[in-house]
Amino acid sequence: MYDFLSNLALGFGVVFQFTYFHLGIIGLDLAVPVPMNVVFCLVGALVGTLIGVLPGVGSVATIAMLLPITFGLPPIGALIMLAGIYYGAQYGGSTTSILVNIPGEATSVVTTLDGHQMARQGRAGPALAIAAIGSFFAGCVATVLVAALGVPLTGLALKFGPAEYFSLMVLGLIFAVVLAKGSLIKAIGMILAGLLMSMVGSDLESGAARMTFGIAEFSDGIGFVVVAMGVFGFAEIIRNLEATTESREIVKAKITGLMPTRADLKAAAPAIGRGTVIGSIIGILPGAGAVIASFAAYTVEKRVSKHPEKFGHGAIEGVAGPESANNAAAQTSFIPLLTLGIPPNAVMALMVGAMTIHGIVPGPQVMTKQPDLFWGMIASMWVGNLMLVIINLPLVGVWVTLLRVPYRLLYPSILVFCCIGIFSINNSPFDVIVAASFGVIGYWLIKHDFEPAPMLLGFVLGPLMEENLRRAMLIARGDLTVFMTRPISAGLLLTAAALLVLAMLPMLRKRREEVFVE
Amino acid sequence: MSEGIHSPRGRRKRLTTGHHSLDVAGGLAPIVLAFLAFLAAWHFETMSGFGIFLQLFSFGLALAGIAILGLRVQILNHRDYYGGLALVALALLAFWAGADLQGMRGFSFGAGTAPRLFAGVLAGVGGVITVTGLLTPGEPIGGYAVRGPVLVTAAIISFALLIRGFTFHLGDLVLRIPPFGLVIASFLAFMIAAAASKETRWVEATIIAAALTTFCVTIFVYLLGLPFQLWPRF
Repeated sequence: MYDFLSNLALGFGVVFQFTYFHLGIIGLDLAVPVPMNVVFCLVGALVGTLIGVLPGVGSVATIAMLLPITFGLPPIGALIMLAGIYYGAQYGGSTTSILVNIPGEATSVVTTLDGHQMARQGRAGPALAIAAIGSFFAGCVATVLVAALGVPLTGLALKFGPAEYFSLMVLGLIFAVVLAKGSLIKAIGMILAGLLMSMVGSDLESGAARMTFGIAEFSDGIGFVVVAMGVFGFAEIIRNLEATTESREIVKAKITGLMPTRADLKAAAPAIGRGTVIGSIIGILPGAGAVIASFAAYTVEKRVSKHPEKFGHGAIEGVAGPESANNAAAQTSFIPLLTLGIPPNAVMALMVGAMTIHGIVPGPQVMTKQPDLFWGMIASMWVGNLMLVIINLPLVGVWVTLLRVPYRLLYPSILVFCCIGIFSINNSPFDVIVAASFGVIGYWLIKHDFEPAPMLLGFVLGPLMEENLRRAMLIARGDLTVFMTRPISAGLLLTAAALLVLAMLPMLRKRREEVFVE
Repeated sequence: MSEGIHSPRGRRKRLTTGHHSLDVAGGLAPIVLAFLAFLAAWHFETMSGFGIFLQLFSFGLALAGIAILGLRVQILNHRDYYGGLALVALALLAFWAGADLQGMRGFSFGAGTAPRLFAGVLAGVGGVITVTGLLTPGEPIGGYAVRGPVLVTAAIISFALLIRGFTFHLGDLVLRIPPFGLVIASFLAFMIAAAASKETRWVEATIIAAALTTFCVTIFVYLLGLPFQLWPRF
């Protein structure tokens, strides 16, 4: 307990570190203390919401787009800002769902069901407020959970050898496949494609140029941001252009009375509690945690409600539950990343990309070697959630105006912004061209029902998997059975196999499809 | 990508004979891949494991293609069929591109071992997807838009070529695009991208393009201090 508190104190100490800026005003030297990390968090949440509010721009695209602006910051500041961007993007998506009925991303699909109905009944204010309050509460609980689980899980991770790591990554990827929507085998294909693409570039051990086709620019490998922006940014633009007629029904009525009534709060409170628990648990599992969490929370609310017929017609529980759940899940999905160094979903994969750019190798050693970074990030989660409440409630009007920007002006702006962002990473025009190709590939993938997210996950995990596989084989002197003779590794692999078999059973397969159709 | 552009209703070129139509593109695609596999096999020693594997794979693909053409097999789900074939193509490309890499050295992995391992599994998975697409019904591929993808890609590439200039080497011919700088590259990319939508109003787009360019210059060059060249230099 004492450790726990002192760790959190360390974290908050990092977040509230003051930097003194000297202002010279008429001969006076004023030292103004500014908590830079809080500022980064605030800016992150603000721009995250700003971009996340735009219809059709999900959190992966938002983070990919905004990654370059964090490159110039110190590592801790950059990661805190990225976390802020993530929460902001997610909350922005909910705002769009409630006001326009267009979910920015999968996690806020269920919010449209009741949130938009509330808005049409003139209760957009309470819907937005409950979403913010629910998210904040869930965020507080999840922050404590992340802090509490960080130490024991890291301890476990330090006992892992290469064989265990490899098996753990296999399990993580299988989880991601089983919990994602769409065909299992196609998702596996995408993961393998990502793994293969991650191997372009110099070999870690021998330094040999691998699959570079003699192109010098490929010798450093394909940039992670380049792939993410191409597949999520450019491909989305191309796809959205196809839907020619815009059918947006923005709530025209002026948003009055932000505050929910006492009855609203009473109805929403238990839903927030349940959503938080569901979200926290599901978020830890690899895969599309936040998506499943919000769907599960909605289903649970509908089941336990005394008036299930109210759902779909503006039930406040239908907003409170899923919104709390997706925020809790968004937060607890940091657990596998921070403790084991394994990204459980595409957003966390982007975080790995960002950490690597700053020279941090994610994994259990982060906590022991850079405790300020580890605990600072955890503390910043709580601060980020506070920022969301502070920013979003007063600024709802601004977001509404932003929603009125027509797509014909939006997409060229996003495109130019992405181009500059990609170019700024290495000052390389070649990267921009590669991203354009990935945009076309992404469009093709959409047309053929392939999910790009598993590919991105495979792309990030590729080097890690190969390294651990090679090491495990070397230690075991080429004996493949090492993965089954070491108990932890065998357990992980068996779980993975069991999951895959379960997901393929006809009964469960049907159920899985139902969950995603609803 | 290989199947070109067709409308949702399937204005695909088909030689209709009776009620079983001949799917030319569907049959030719695996034959093209068989050729690729054969080329990849060429790079390995003929009697090595990979060489034999690739040659067998090549024969299998060619046979499948011929069977589809000869027996007039109806492909039930084109999305999965071509999707699976594309994964197979990617795997073959990896085999071919990584053929020069060292394989196993005793117990330890060479540079080429892991890529070949993953490419092998990918070829298998791609094959399963292809066969599933062949046998289980599914939705047809939605029509490909032309204007959107082409202009969006053109906008991105124009940005890439203009911002710092670009030099092409086509044999002895050297083609050089001078650096135009951030301002012109952004503005032009915006305008080309804007042309992709039918709803674009040009006056409005020009104003916003100018505003966005100013905004980006302010953020990236002045606030973030990135060393971008702003104006053309010849």
